[in-house]
Amino acid sequence: MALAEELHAREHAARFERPARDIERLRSQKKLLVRERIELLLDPGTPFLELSTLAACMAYDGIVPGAAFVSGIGIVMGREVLVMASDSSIKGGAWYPLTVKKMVRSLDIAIENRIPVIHLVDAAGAFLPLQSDIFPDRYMGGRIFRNQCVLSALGVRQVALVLGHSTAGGAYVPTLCDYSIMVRGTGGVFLGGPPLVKAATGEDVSANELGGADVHSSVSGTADYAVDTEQEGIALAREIVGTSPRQKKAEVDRRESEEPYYDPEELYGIIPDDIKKQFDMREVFARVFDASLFHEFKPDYGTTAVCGFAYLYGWKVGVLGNNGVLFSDSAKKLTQFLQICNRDRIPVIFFQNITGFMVGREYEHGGITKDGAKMLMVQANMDVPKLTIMTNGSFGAGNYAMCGRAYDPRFLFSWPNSQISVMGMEQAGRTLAEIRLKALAREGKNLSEEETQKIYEGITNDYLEKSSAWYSTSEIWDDGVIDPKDTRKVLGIALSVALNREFGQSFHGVLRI
Amino acid sequence: MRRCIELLGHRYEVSLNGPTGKWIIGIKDRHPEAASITIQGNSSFILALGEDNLPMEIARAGEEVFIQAFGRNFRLKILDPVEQAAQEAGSKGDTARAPMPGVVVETAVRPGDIVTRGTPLMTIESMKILTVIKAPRDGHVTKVHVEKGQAFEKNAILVTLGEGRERPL
Amino acid sequence: MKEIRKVLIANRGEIACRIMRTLDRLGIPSVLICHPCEIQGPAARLAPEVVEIDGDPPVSAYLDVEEIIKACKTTGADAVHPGFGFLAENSSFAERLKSDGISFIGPKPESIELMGNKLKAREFCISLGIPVVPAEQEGRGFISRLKALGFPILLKAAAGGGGKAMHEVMEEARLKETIKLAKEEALRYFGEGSVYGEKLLRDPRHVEVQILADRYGSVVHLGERDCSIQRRFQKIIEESPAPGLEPELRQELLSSAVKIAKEAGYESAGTVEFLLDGQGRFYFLEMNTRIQVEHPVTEMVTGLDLVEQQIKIAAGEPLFFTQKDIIIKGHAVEARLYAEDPESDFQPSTGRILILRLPEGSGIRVDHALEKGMNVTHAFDPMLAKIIAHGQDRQTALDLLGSALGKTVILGVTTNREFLERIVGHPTMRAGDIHTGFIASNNLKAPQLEDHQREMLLAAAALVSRQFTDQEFAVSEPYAAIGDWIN
Repeated sequence: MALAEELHAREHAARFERPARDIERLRSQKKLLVRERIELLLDPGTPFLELSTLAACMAYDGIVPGAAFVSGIGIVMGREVLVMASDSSIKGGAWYPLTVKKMVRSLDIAIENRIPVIHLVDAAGAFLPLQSDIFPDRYMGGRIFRNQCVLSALGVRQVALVLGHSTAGGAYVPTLCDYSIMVRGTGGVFLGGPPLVKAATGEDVSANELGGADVHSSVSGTADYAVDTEQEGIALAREIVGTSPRQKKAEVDRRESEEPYYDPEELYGIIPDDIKKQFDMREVFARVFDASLFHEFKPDYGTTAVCGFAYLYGWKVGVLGNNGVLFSDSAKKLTQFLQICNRDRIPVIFFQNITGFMVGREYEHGGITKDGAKMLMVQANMDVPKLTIMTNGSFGAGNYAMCGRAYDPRFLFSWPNSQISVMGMEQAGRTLAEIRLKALAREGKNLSEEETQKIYEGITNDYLEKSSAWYSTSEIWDDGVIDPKDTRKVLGIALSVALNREFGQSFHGVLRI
Repeated sequence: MRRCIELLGHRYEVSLNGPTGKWIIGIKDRHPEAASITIQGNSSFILALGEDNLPMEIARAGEEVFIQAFGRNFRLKILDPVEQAAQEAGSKGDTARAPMPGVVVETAVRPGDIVTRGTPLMTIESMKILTVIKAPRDGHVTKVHVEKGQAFEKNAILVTLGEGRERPL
Repeated sequence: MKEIRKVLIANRGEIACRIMRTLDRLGIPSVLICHPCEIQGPAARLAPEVVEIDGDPPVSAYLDVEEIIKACKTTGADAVHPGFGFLAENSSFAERLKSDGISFIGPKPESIELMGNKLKAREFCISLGIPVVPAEQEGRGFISRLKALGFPILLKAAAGGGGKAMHEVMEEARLKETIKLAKEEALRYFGEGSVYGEKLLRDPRHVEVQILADRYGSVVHLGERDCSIQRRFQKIIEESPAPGLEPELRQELLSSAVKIAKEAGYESAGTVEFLLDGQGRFYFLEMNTRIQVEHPVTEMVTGLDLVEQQIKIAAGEPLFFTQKDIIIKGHAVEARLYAEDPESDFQPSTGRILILRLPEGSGIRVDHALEKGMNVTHAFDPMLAKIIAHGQDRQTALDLLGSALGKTVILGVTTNREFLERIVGHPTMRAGDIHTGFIASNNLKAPQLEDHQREMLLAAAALVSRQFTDQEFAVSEPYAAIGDWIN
C-alpha cells in the first residue's frame, strides 16, 4: 500500500512537476503541454495506459523524468493507438540515451503488436554531450527510423503531428509516417536547422522559410497538411485515424466479461512485506481475472507452480504463477501447460515470484537443468501472445523460464515491491562482499569488524537499489511499474493490444527429453 | 464519440459512448446518463434520458438536426472538430496560392471585401481549364496580387487575407 | 358580358394553387406561369398547363409583362388572374391586357391607378369626407411642414405598399437622413422616389373592410378583418370579425368602405384599410385593389369564394346577392407561417423542408404550396403557408388555431411557428387587446431553456446523428469497461 502510494507520488512528479519557467516558455509559444495534447487526442472517457512513466527516473540525476517522452496506449476514434510524444517541458524534449531506448521500445511494441502510432513531435534534438550513447549502436537512434520503416511495410499506420522543431535525424520521424500534419509557426522539419545551414553554406534563412508548415505542405511535399493551431492539428489527426479500418483482433476463445468477485484492493494485504515470505498466487489470480474464476491444471503435481485457465475481459488466457522454487516436476507441469496453450491459441500470462530452480546433487541428478531447458525451449518458441507481471522476486534462471524481458513478452509490468537480480540479494551481497574483502586482504589490509560491515552494507545497498523496481523501470527493463490493484486493467489493455497481431504458427525447438 | 453541438448560439461538448442500445450520454460538466431514442414512425421519436421520456419530432440533414419538442423548434448543428478548432483559433491561412501556373480570367474580390471560407476569389485558366480560387478561411481581402489577364507561376500568392472578419478602416 | 374560358395565373406558390382550385371547381382551365427553378414545385405540378418564363432573379419572371402576354396568346388564355403582389396592382399591366383583349381579373386600370397612388387616394377620401391620417406631401417646406405635424412621423412611398420602404422617424434629428433613405428605397422597390410623411399613430389598430363591387354599381361589404398583429409593418395574424369593435364604429367603417368603392366606380374585390386610434377615431389608410393574403378569414365567416366572385365580376356578371344576404358566421383567425427567425429580428431563413406535417380537420384550412424536400430560398417571399381556423366564437377559433399550430411540423427551415403559437395563446391576445404595437409591447420571447430540456435536445441530436452513433467509432472492450482511467 505504501509502495503504491510512493508509485503514484513518483508518477505524479514525473508527469507534472516542472519548473514554472519551462511551462511559461511553452505557454508563450502557444504550445500545449504534452498531457494536454494527449487528452485532446484521445476519445473522452477512455483509458490511457502509459508505458514506462518512470523511465530515467534514477538516471541523469533525475532531471529527465520519463526520459522526456510519453508513450502509451489509448483510443482515438474507437481505434487502439500507441501515442509517442516528446515532452518539451523537459530540456525542450531533447533525446537522452534512455529517450531513444524508450522510443525504440515503443516502436518495438508497435511492430510486435501491429498497433498504429501517433507521433507528437516536439523535440529539441539529441542531447549532444551523450551522443555516443544515442547514435551508433544497433538499438540506438537509427533503430527508431528503421522501426518506422518496418512498421510501414507491415501495414501499420503512422500519423505525425509536428508541434515543434524536428531536426536532423528527428526530421525523419514525421517524414516516415503515412500522414504528417504540421502546425504553422511552431512546427518545423529540417535536416539541418537554420544555424547549421548558416554555418555550412552561409545561407541566412528563417526556420519558417526553411522548413515550416506551408513550405512542407505546399512546396516540398515533406508534410501533408498545414494547420494553424495544435487543436486543429489534433482534430485532424483524429479524423485521419478515423479513416483507417478498425483493427481486427486475433480469434481467441471469448465469453461475456465479468469483474472479479474479490476486490483488487485486497492485493495490498496479500503482498508480503518481506521478499522472502511466500504467498499463494491463486489469491492474486482471484483479484485479476473474470469472476475470480480459475481452472487449475494438474493441481496436485509440481505444486510450487500454479497454472490453469482464466478469463480476462472475456478472453480465455493461460495463467502461470510461482508458489515457490521451481522443481523438475513444477517445470515439467508448466512446460506441458504451455504446449496446450500454444496449440489451442490461448494467450499466456506469467506471474513471476521466483527465486530460481532448485539446486543440489539430488536435483541435478534428477535433471533439473534439462527440465528448465525444456521450459525455456517451449516458452521461447511459443507464438501465442505472452504477458508478464513481476509480482515480487525474480531471480536467476527463474526469470528466464517465467518469460522475463529477454523472452519477448509483448508487455512486462512490475509491481512496485518487485525485485530483479541474478540471485537473491543476501547471497549476492555476501558473495560480492567476500570477493571484495579477499581482494583487500591480498593487498595486506586488515579490516575491523566495523569496516567489514560497512563494505558489506555499501555493496548490499547498491545491489538493492539496482534490483529494485524503480531502477528496473528507470532502465526500461519493463514497460512500467503498476499499482497492483490495476493489474487487471493493465493486462486487459495489454492483451487487447497483443491480439492485433495474428498468431498460430508453431515453431518447435528440440527438447532434451 | 465526442463532438460539439451548437444550440441557440452556444456550444456544448457532448459525448456518446457504449454499444448501440446502451448509450451513455455525457454533456460536459454533467453526470453521464443512459439515453436512448425510439422511432415512432416518420419523424416522430421518443427520447429517453435518465428517468424521463419525451416525444420529439426530429429531422437531420448532414450536420444539422432539427427538433420540435415541448412546443418549440430548434436547429442544432454538430460541429466538425477540425473546422471548429480552426474557427476557435481564428485560423490564419492567410494566402490563396496558385495550384498551377496560369492566367487570371477574372477577379471576384477587391481589397476590403469580406469573405467566408469558400468564397470565390478569382477564376484562373491553366492548361485550358478554368479553376476557381476560393478563400481558405473567413476574413477580409487585403491584397489581390494579380489582375485580369496577368500570368503567374505555380505557388504564386494570388490573394492575401487579413486577420479577423472586420473590414479595415 | 364576356365569358372567361381560360385563365392564366400570373403568380406562384400558395395563391396560385388557391386560384387554380377555384378555377378547377368552376370548370375553367388554368395556365400557370412558372420560373424554371419552381418547375418541379407543387404549384407547377398541380397546374394542367405551365408556361416557363425564365428570369434572373427568379421573381423577375413573374413581373415579365411581355412574356406573360405572349404566354396568354400561345395558350389561348383570355383572362389573367394576378393574385397578390407581383403585377396585381400594376395599372399599366392591366392596361396592356385590355389593349390585347385579355381580361384582367381585378379592377379597372383607373381604379388601380387612383388607389395605387397613396396621395391621390388620400385626396379622394378627403373629398368624400372620410378621415385620413394627417400627412404632408413632398414639395416646398416639406421638412418644416413635417415638423409642424409633430413626431413620430411615418415616411411612406407614394407608390408603395406591402410594408416596404416605410420608415418611422421618432425625432427631428434623424428626419433628413431618413427621408433620403426612404426615397432611395421607394425608387428601388417601386421605381418612383416620391414619399410623404404621415403622423404616426401610437399603436393603432389595423382594421380593413372587404368589399365586392360589380360592373353595375352594386357594392357590398363582407365584413371587416382585424390585422393588427404585425411585425415589420407586415401582418402575421388576421381575424374576422374584429374583436371588441363598437357597433357604431364598425358600421361607420363598413359604410365608408362601401362609399369609397362606389364613388370610385370600383369593380372586383377590394379592401379598404383603416387605422383606429384608441379614442374611437378612424382614419382611411389605403385601398388594396386585389385579393388579399388574408382573404380566407372572410371566406370562412361568409362562406363565399372571393376568387370565384372576382372571376364572375370580371366576366361581367352582376353580384347575385345583396348586402342583407351576407351573414357573418362565427369567427375566423389566420396565422401566416413564415420562413423566418423571430429570435433574430424576423430575418428570413432558408433550408430544405425535411419533414412536413400540416394540420387538418374540421374548421381548419391550410393554404400552401409546400412539399417535403422542397428548398426554401431567398428567391421568393418567405411566406410558407397560411393556417386558418374557424370556430363559433373567437375563443374557439383561437383554441383551434393554437392546436393546429402545435400539430404543424415543418423541419429543415426555421419558421415562426412557435412564435405564432405564443401569440395565439397570449392572454392579451385572448382578451382581444390588440393593436399594431402588440408584438413590440408584449413579451413573446422564447422562454429560457431549462437545463434538462437542453440536455434532452443535445441527447436527441447525438442519438440520431451518425457522427455520434457510428459503431465504426465505438469504443470496444476492455476500454469501454475500464472507462476514464490512467495507470
